[in-house]
Amino acid sequence: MYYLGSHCGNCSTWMTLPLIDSSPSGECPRCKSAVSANAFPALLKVEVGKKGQDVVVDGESGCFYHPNKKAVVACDGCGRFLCDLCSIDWSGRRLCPSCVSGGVGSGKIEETAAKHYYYDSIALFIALISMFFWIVSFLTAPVVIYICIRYWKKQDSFVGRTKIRFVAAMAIALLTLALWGVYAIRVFGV
Amino acid sequence: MAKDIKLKKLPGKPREFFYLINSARYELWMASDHLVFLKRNQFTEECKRFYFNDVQAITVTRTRTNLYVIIGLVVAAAFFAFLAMIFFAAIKTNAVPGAIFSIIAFVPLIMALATAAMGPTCVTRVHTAVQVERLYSLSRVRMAEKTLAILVPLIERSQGRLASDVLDRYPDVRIDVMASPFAFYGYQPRQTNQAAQPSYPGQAQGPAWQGPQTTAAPPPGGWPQAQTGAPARPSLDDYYRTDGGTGAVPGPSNPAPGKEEE
Repeated sequence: MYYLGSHCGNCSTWMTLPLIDSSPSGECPRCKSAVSANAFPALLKVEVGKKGQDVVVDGESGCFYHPNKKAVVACDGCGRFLCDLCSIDWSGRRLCPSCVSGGVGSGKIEETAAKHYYYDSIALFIALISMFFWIVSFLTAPVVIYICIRYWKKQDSFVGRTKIRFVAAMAIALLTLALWGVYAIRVFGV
Repeated sequence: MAKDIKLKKLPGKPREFFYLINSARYELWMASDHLVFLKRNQFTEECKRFYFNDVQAITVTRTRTNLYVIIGLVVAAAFFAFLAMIFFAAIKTNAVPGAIFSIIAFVPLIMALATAAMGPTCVTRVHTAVQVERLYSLSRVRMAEKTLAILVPLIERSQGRLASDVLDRYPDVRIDVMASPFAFYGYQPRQTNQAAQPSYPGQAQGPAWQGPQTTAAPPPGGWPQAQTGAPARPSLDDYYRTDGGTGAVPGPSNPAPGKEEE
């Protein structure tokens, strides 16, 4: 019988659950908390890493990163020849490690994006907070308008997001500037 | 990403229990082939993806947080009710102070009732080969069960179901895939030498804890010897079912496909 080793979620005590089926259950030997699990076949799977094939015939194309390994595919991003070890299967494309790392850093590969900034919330926050510190609002309002224009199309979210915050921030910033304009006309008689 | 991949929101409570301390919102979304665990702050959102093919296990541990919170709220309600009674008794000409404390006493009482109505609390964790992640949005047993009822069939459709006959074939194999969530902080969780307790009457007791290990414990009588005389200690992939459910289970004498190529 297989036993599933785990830490109790309550007291972190090490415990084992007998894997009598795919959904074992038991209790922590220390805190007696009920533990249930759903186990899946990936639990028993051990991935064996690929090994690039050696170049067998002299003059045969070799991998860009491992010249003594036989090239099996060309990178879909940069066209470099790759061995079996270096080719990365990425959403149906075969990419080399440098294309993948470059895509992750620059955000070109969207599947790797793990963090988004809410520029619309930032703009709205600045617009609202400047209403309380109105003396500096003639400086913050242009900043808010810049953020709204700059990130109008670049704003992204994993689960979708409306533009309502951008609209609200822009409206507040424009109103602030308009009020400052009226004030300037009244005081300086421009 | 959101343009291409359609996500569906899964049930769950977006905030941690002590949300006044931690203002982050946690949400669980589901795509066709992976799970998205989303953490949203005021100005940022971060996500972690768990592909259905990589999920090894999902564990749900019941906790007593709910009980402690209810006890705390009831004690607070009793304290304010006691104060109200004192004020009612002491100041008979003016009932306002006593009434105010009575109203204050009702607030924790209603909170305790609401907490009790939401059901018992739990810690839900998703385990892959390289990480253990707590799903903060599934902090209630009822919510966790509801979500698992949606997720488990999808993961099983992606990976297949863990066959009971494979599990029964080799005795006393323990799989310690679940790394400690505190490992990064250098914290060693408490360990016990207790054997796994039988979960039903008549079930054999599990092996005693011998320290974290990632390889199989030897079965009674030891591992079969290879022809060279060296002790053969098969790895777990020897036991992994690769036949697609036809019944031929690879073992020490029947290596898994692809193993000979190495």
